[in-house]
Amino acid sequence: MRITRREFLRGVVAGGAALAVPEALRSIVHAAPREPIRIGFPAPLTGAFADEANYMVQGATLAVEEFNRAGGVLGRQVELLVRDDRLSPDEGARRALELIERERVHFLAGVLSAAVQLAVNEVAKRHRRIFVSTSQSDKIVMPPDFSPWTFHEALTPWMTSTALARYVLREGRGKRVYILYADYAYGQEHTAAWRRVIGEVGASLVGVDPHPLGTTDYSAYLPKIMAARPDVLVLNNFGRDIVNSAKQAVELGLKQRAQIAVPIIPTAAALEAGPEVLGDVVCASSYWWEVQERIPKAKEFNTKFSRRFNRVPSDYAAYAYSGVRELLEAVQRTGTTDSDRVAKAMEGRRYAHYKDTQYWRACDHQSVQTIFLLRGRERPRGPYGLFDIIATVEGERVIPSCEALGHR
Amino acid sequence: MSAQALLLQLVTGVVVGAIWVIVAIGLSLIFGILRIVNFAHGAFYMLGAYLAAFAVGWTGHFWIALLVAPLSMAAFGVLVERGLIGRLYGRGLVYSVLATYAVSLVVIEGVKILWGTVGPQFRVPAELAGMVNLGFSLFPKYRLFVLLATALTVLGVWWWLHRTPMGLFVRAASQDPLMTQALGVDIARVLAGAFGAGVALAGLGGALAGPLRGVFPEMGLDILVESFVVVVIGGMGSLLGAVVAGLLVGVVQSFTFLWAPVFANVVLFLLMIATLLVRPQGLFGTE
Repeated sequence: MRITRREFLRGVVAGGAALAVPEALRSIVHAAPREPIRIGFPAPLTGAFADEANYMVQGATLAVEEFNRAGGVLGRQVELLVRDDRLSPDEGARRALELIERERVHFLAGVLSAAVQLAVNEVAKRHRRIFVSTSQSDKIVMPPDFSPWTFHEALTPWMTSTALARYVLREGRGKRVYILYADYAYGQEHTAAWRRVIGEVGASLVGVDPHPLGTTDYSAYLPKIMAARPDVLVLNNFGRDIVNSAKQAVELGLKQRAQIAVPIIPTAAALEAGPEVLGDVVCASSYWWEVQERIPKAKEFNTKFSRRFNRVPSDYAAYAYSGVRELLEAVQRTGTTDSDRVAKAMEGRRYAHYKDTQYWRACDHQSVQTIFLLRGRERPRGPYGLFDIIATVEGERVIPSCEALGHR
Repeated sequence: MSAQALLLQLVTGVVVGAIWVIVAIGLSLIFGILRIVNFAHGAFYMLGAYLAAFAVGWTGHFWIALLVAPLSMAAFGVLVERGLIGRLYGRGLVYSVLATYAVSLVVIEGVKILWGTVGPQFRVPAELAGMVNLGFSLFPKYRLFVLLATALTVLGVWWWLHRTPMGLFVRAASQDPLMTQALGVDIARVLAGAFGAGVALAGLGGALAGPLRGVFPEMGLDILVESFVVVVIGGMGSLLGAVVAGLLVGVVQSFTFLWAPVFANVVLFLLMIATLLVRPQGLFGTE
């Protein structure tokens, strides 16, 4: 089942109405109704990452519904206020401000884009509200962007690409690397990580080209790449850019000549590209549903998610679920919605909401977690069985030190 | 850089330009005859790609899709012209710009409501999959086919404009609508037909590009801007201009990717500015 934005909004309204009923009944007993706990959730519901944003909203919705079904948090219902940031930092900042000032949300979570999350983080920081980011960025865990209220549930490009690059360059086909990257924060940060690992293992960078975000035709980049004869072609881009660049590289026969590596392939993009394109392509991921074979918690999460939304959860759905769940648990533990106190309670805590244990590192509030390396199957196992899990990397082995990030 | 690689870069650029050519001819045709800038052109391109993808899904034949997409888009274009655009003639450029922009928003949002934000699968047809040896390099068959289809389309449009009675009326109407009407030509039908033809070309462009670039609701946004740039460089309303400018821009952009990829985003607009400064009417424009 595919949920469009409209259907989704309709669902939220209906769900909200349904949830309001027990609350209303309770208010008769307790005299005054208690104010719900509100979480603002900006996400790019329109634009190139809309499909993945949809997964994120579903993940967050699942977490909120679970608490509400169990009687809410601190006896109060939880409300998720989803807003479309249209993949624009300005729009994201405006929505975040609106959520805080007009809707009086207690916390912010979500966002899918390195640039938009920094804009939202800026607003959250100014209002001293917790923001649990579910999108990759290096800067968000570094001063000056980092704040005591910033929590980064997603992996960073540094961690992701370090894990992937070390694997590919040590165990892969060769050491001549060509990088094509989307020319914005995300692509640049992943490229920086690759450059570092290339130096570290003594590989060589035979070419590196930026491409504009949202390019649809990559054919003009490919002759130059083929002429450079790389052993590894790295595509540091995201969403539909992965689909088109990988598809066209495969069309021109690059897969036979080089190992194609992509930092992360979000589930929506993987399903769109299909096994003809992704077969033998390697990528890293915070989550792939098939880890349920080794992690019971993942199986539990997959079941809950697919029962509710009729599809397997994606990595970003898992981020959103885990981030929102962890935030609400901290509220429950501290008995308050005060961001300062909730943030203190989260710092350093270990948790496992959908996979193996992860924890918030105290200095930068980065969620230190396992990274899975995946390889596309030539012959998929069922409609969702697209990847083999080829390695797992502990987050601690690839995370930069607090000092390296500028924390004292 | 070897000669082979440069040749490959050239051919690649020509093919990218070919898709701009098809889309830009439609845009140019509509401007030349109706005197409106069709801001819904990208949305029609997208809708054409959707229809083609669905047609392949239902019939299993790419060739049928290649007919279904432009023909149904032509009908849709006539409908839009009769129902909306045609009622705004004589009210100035702003009305038609706003109206076509509105159509574009409605079509894009409509597609999202009907079919969601994820587009249908649209693969290169089996008979055109694989590579062919060009002598200097292997090259995807499908991209060569796009080039061939573009050439045939350009010839077809030229033949329609210059060798058929309808084409004669269309050209006459573009030069002097009042006099054409005085001579007994039903000008309303001519304008609707011309708009329909332009929209059909957008749809065909989408159908050809779909297997290469994927099908999704926002796929027409960039191509609208790009084909507009091509039309301005070639000269508004000029068929030959759209062809030459489309291929030129494709090749120039291709070599920009090769030598200065940071300019990939702006090279189109730099070319347009240069054209406007040196030859404001465009390469083949007359006014």
